[in-house]
Amino acid sequence: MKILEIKDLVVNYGKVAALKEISLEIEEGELVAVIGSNGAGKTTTMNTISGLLSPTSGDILLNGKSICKIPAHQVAALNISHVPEGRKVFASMSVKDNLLLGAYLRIRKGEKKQVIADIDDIYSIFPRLKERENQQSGTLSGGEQQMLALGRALVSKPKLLLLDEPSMGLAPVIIDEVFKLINTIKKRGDMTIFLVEQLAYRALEVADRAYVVEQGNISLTGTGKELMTNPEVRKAYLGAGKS
Amino acid sequence: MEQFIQLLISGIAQGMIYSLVAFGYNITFSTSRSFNFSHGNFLMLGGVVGLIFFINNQVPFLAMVLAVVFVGLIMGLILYKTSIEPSLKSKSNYAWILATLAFGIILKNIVEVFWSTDDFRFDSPLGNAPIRIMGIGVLPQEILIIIVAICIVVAVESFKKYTIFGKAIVAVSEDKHTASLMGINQQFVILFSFLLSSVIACLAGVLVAPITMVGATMGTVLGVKAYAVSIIGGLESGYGVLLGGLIIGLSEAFTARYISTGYKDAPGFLILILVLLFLPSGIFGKKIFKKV
Repeated sequence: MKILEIKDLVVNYGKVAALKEISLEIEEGELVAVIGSNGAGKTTTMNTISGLLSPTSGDILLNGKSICKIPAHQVAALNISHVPEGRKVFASMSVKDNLLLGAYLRIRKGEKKQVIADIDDIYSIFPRLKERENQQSGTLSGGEQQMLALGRALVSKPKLLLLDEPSMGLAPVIIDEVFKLINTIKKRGDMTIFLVEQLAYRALEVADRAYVVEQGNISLTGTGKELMTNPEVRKAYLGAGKS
Repeated sequence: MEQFIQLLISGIAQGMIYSLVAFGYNITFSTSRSFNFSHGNFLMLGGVVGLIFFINNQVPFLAMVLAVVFVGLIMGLILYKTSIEPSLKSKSNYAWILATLAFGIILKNIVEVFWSTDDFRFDSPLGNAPIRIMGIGVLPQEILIIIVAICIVVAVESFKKYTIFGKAIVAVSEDKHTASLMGINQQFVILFSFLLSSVIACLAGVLVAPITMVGATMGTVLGVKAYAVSIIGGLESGYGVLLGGLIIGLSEAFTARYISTGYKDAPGFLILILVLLFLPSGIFGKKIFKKV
């Protein structure tokens, strides 16, 4: 069953077109990646799904229902959780408060006890966060902030997890760790993951299927393995041909 | 010495009034980067409503306070709907300044036309006889002001720190887009902050009424000085307003006594200039560590 379907999506920033008729679909339980260079429209796609941007035309369907006219805070209530580009942890607040805010809607529904248990669960996946529970999250390292942003998204118990550029600004060793975690989350199998990433190789390694965007258009699609061996992709994104 | 302590207490009381009004600026500034420039006129309205109910019609004190809170909520809602919401949608970043100034002028003129242009005495429910402790006379109202102001600031700050809705307010102050990704309705948070700030201003009007007088112009200067207090304490800090209030309140009281009443406002504004020069985000301005 398709969980998310994007149909002919066009998004403009003023007069500048960021997305020119993008269409893609994600099946439930899949990990789908979108790769592409800077400015290709990856983050725009993410922000439009989560309601931060509204499209000029086209449609976004979640389980068959259009969500593109819904403001961001209501999209979040539809079990979509978005880990934004650049992590965007609430820097002045403690690690624990960030996690609690991730579960804001659940706490307001009265699931506080369950949320506390889930936060402990998050701590078992990310022991570093437990150590720094009461630390101001702006003082965490980039990698720790990325873990926190992931944890904050996971405590909301999403059906669809949107990951925007999780490798951004991180050291290669830390990127390894982050992608290992993404793989762990994928293997638990209780959520669909939509990943947007500049580091094509890393994304294709974990993805079931992937799309390549170039200047606001989808230029290629296929399974992760197919794209990894595709000569065009290798040349443009995987550094083959340079040597 | 006795005189010194007496000045100290009335300076603190005056400062706490400034703090309360300034606190109202901070609450909405942190969530929406805008505030009510006519906050002083909301204070005036609180004073006028209090006078009409409590002095003119002999309504019980607590019932009057409830009425003032109610008026504060209604005015906050009207202000938000007419001046803030449209301004935040407009392309100009500063439309809210003119919109709220205009709102305040209209409010003040309505009070002048339909009520009165005179100033009235507002007798404190605690009486006007000073309490004498070791030769120092303190007005009971001054003690009330100090206690209530500190309680309100502490209560709101604790609410922000310990409840999930309070944390949501802090989240919106920090990054409204990311906050909305958490499912937080930022527009509601902004509306809430304006309601809270209006109610606090109206309550401050009732508190200060027995010390000043009640009239249509009572809030104008208070609003401006409170603005200075906000800047000195830090527009985004909570407890900073208490320090800012103390600085302005005490400097006024002591200058008026030992130098000249004509110069009483000078040191406060001098400090304001110094703060703007050397600590532009205020003494308690936010220091956030950000690593990239």
